[in-house]
Amino acid sequence: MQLLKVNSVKMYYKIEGKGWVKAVDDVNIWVDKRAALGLAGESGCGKTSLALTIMKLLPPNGKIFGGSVLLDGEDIFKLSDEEFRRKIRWKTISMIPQGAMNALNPVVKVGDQIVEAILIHEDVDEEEARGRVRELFELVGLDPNRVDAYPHELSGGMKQRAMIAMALACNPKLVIADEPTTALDVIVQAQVLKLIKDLQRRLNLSLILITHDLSIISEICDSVAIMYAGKVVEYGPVELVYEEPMHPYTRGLLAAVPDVKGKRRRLESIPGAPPDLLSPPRGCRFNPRCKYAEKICAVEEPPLVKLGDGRLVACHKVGD
Amino acid sequence: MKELIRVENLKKWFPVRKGFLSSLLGGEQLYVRAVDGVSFKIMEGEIFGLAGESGCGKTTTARAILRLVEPTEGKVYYRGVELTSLDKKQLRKVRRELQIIFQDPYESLNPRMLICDIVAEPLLVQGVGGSKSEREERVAKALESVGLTPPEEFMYRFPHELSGGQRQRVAIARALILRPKFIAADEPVSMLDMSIRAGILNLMLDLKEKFGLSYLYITHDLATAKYVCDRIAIMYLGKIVEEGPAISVIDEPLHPYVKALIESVPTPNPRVKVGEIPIKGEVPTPIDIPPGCRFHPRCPYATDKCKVKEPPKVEVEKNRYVACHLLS
Repeated sequence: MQLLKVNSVKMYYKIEGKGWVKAVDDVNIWVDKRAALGLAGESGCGKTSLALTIMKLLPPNGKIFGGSVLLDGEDIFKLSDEEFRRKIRWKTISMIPQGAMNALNPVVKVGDQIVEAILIHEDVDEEEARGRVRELFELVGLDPNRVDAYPHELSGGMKQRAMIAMALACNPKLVIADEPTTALDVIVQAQVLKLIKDLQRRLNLSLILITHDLSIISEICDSVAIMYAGKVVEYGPVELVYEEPMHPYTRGLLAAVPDVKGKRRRLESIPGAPPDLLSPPRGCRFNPRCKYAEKICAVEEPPLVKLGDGRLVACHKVGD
Repeated sequence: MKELIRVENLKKWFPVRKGFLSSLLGGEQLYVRAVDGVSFKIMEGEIFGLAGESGCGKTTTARAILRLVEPTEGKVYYRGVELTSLDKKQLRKVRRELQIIFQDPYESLNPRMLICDIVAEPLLVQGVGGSKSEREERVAKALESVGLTPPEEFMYRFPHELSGGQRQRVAIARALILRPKFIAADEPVSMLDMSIRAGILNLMLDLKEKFGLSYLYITHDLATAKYVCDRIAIMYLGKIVEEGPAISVIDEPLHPYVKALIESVPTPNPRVKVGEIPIKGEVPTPIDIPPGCRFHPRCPYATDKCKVKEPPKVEVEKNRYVACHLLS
């Protein structure tokens, strides 16, 4: 059962005097109920922009050019801003933005910051909100007595737990976590990932985890969408995509990642660099870096096609 | 293999700045004990890894070896010459053979200089450049050896015109131009995208073979460490806790901290998951280092001895060194 379906969504940023940056360009993905989707790709591929589009949290120069986002079948792009704020954002879909733990207000107690978030979105009094924050702290493995701590009194891992508590404050159905462990050391990262996975299962949540680190997705996600230059190039169950990647870009990425627990093998890099999205290459956006590229790849854009095994791939060389 | 660098009981303590009042009252001077007694050797033609979590002292160790920060205590030898006792002039001369690459290629290259001037600068500093055309020839060769070909296409551009991977290649070319014997590489790929990382790591490996280089590879990323390092040392709170051949340390760690550290690393293999991590809490501050074994407050196996006596680093198997009372 799909919880969220993103249909042909386009979102471009306007750069004054230069044109439009095609950050999210005709993206189709979905997240099942109680499932975890990993959104992977290198910096600038549009993964964070896609999340901000779903949350309608775009900067003034970001504009949605079409498509729909269905939540339980209802098109949430059709809602008014007021309805979206009241019914969707934080209530149904919440987000742990990138670097959010460093964006906590340093002069306000951590608990009070979460109480504020609850009071804005829910029809409860302050006492009830405070009670809920203590419960949330317990849920994410923090001592409930630390609700009165200031951000600087908490370690990085504890602050990230508090951010997770804040994201869960209004019992959402979907949590979008953008690079939730990037600033953390590896042992703390492992603990936070285990917490996210555990909460996702216990609370029957859907999760979109955004990261550049393919290993994190393999650790806690069920399916994966690989993005390149504003497009999804491959989408499917993690085991399928990781063990038999079909798109040349996915193959390239996986060949570039060392495995600490596997045999040492020669890594391969992908030549070149991602394109400028002000004027992406014609045809397949990966074609200038692709060793399998043929004439058609530079002319015609490959559609995202469903294969027999259930995955989707956008490549002229796959499936025929 | 011959010894290239020997580090003996290296320490770097940074004084903690005190407030006005406490300096008047003359309270005890506190120190951040960033590096607190580290010893190891790097052999010729070897990549030696120094790995650990943030704040463990790995970067400070590299800087203290090159005397970019002055060590508080301890000695560093390069081919038998004690670097720690050289005066400025002597030091500048041997620095020709000792180079460093930094983490962030967006910060380590002067944005207002052309690539050819950036790469040629060490020649001018050392006064070995010769004429302008000789310098340009050497720059071209250095750029070629890091895969920026044809070099003319890169020499007259500015750093902002290059990608992150290309910039890091320029930084490597700058380090190579004096034909060094040793390069300290401080997280050289952690700012780069993953498809670019492999290219830089492979370049480092190729240059090692081609020029007989040795590296000190500083990283928090054990997967890349396993890929490039011959030997590795894992640091915790300013001390080495385990040292040995990279593959054996990472595949079969012995120290309880190193075991937890490696277990924590996720892998791109969806069938291998991170297991139980028995250790508690987070790394304490290096101002207030626990007595005895520094790891004992977080160690599930700590005994009374661990709380009072600091374990020395001893050889527990051939070439495997561990600082843990449980193993010695």
